[in-house]
Amino acid sequence: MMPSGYELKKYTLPQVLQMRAKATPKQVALREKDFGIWNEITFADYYRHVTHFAAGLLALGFEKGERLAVIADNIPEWLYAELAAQSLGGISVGVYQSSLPPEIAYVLSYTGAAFVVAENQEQVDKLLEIRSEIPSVRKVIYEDPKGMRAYQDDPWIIGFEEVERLGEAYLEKHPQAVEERIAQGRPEDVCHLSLTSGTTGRPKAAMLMHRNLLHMGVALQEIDPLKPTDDYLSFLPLAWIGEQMMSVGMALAGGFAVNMPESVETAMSDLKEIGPHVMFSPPRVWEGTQSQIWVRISETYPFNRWVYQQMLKIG
Amino acid sequence: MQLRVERVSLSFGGVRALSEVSLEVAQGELVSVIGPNGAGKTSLLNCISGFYHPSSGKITFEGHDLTRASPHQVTQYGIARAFQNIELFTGMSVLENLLMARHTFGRYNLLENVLFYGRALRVGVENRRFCEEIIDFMELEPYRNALVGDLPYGVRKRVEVARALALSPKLLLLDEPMAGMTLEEKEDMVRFILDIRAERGTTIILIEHDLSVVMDISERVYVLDFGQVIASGRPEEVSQNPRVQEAYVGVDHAA
Repeated sequence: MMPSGYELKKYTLPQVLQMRAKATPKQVALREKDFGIWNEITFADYYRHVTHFAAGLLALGFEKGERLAVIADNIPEWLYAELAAQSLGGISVGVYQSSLPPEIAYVLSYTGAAFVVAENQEQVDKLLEIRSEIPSVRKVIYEDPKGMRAYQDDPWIIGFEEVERLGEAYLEKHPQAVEERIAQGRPEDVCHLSLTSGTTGRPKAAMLMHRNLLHMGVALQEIDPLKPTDDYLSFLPLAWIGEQMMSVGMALAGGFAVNMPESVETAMSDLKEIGPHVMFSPPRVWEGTQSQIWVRISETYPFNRWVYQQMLKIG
Repeated sequence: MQLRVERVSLSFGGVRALSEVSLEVAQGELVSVIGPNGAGKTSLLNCISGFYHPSSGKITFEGHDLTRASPHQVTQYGIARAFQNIELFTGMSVLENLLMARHTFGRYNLLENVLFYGRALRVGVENRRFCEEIIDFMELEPYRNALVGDLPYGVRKRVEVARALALSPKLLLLDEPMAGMTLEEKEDMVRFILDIRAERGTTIILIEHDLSVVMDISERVYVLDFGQVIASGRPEEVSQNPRVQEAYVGVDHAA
């Protein structure tokens, strides 16, 4: 029986994912637009990716309490990596994709990251630039293989799928390796480091527990109840606590399916296709959307404008 | 050698656009052709892609004789070209432009195509998938359904290269793909060109005026001036060549 409400706070995030994968394996957990098509990822798929990746990390020597940093746009692999590290008692760290190499060097050495998941060649190149400054990083895992052929000989760098394959092989030998570690997790373990904005100095990392993220997810739904079949568009950086609250805390607390746009540039047209029930963003994003609508309305035919004004009254 | 251009000459009336130009390109190579305006670079590409037929000389590609071949035959041998002046269908979307290029791979009859079933449906799905991979590769997702005519110049240049890629070429002819671009757009285009070669093993002949780009990424360079090859070799050799310096910066008459 799936626990609900504040009962969830007795569990860790990976434990909640595991329960959902058993209770509602065919429920859509995530969607990602890829090659122009929305691909559905069920809770069973989600959990399988997490366990395979976690086992892959084990095979590469990831240990309890170590940090795994992620520098990527909103892609399912962000969540797989985060939940995988947490499954092993590790801590995920979000790094903003737009960070410059010196900023990344600071964050990685400050948090002592052992593994880094980098989305693509662009991010891997930044890491290579600061390689000598981040001796704690043992492996860099890239998601998008495009342009990565030339890096194959470097043992520091490995592909995301390759790690999942290693994990699958590892699980054949040690079938319980990941599940045992998930079971050992406690809700008061630190599971994620979220960076402050650093307006008055260098960013500091806030230590978040499983309980914190799940509490946010449950508490938000007391005010605004949601169904697991509702849709949410995840387009703000997952390094930001707000997006963590929604795409991890709220989604696992049973809120909604998380939809990931095709690219940062397409987020707004993907938004139209998904027609989400919930969105979450700081005022500036809403201001931008509002001014876009106003500009278009002011340029359109009088009839359209009239319809817009009538609808606005009803809305 | 994948492509062999042997002593090709081309005249328009009294003007000799190319005289006795020879050029060889091996499978997987990135070769640049440079030269001042009017040196015959585009004429050379036109000869390879079948738009012009040389008055003398011979062009072969993987054993096929291209000397008298028409552009559509050249395409079928596996040569694609991105034009300097962007020759896209401006009234169609990016995706439609790419799908149009795949037309040459259609192996179905009229009935199947009209009803869109059988081979037409299967090939249609394959083509869409293929074009989507190119859209992903060239990072054109935000423009997939936009009309080409509405797109900014730099993006249209990228679509032009993408459409050439949609022909899954073995040899890609790029005619000034970076002309008129901003520095950032140029850097992106260089990355695309290098990725095309690394990921797809495509042979590339590049015409480009930006010498820093040419010297950075080409394995070999041919320099044309007044329709003749005045130098060829590795970039560092070519840039040291006095005839090349002369063609580019002019003769020092004081000496």
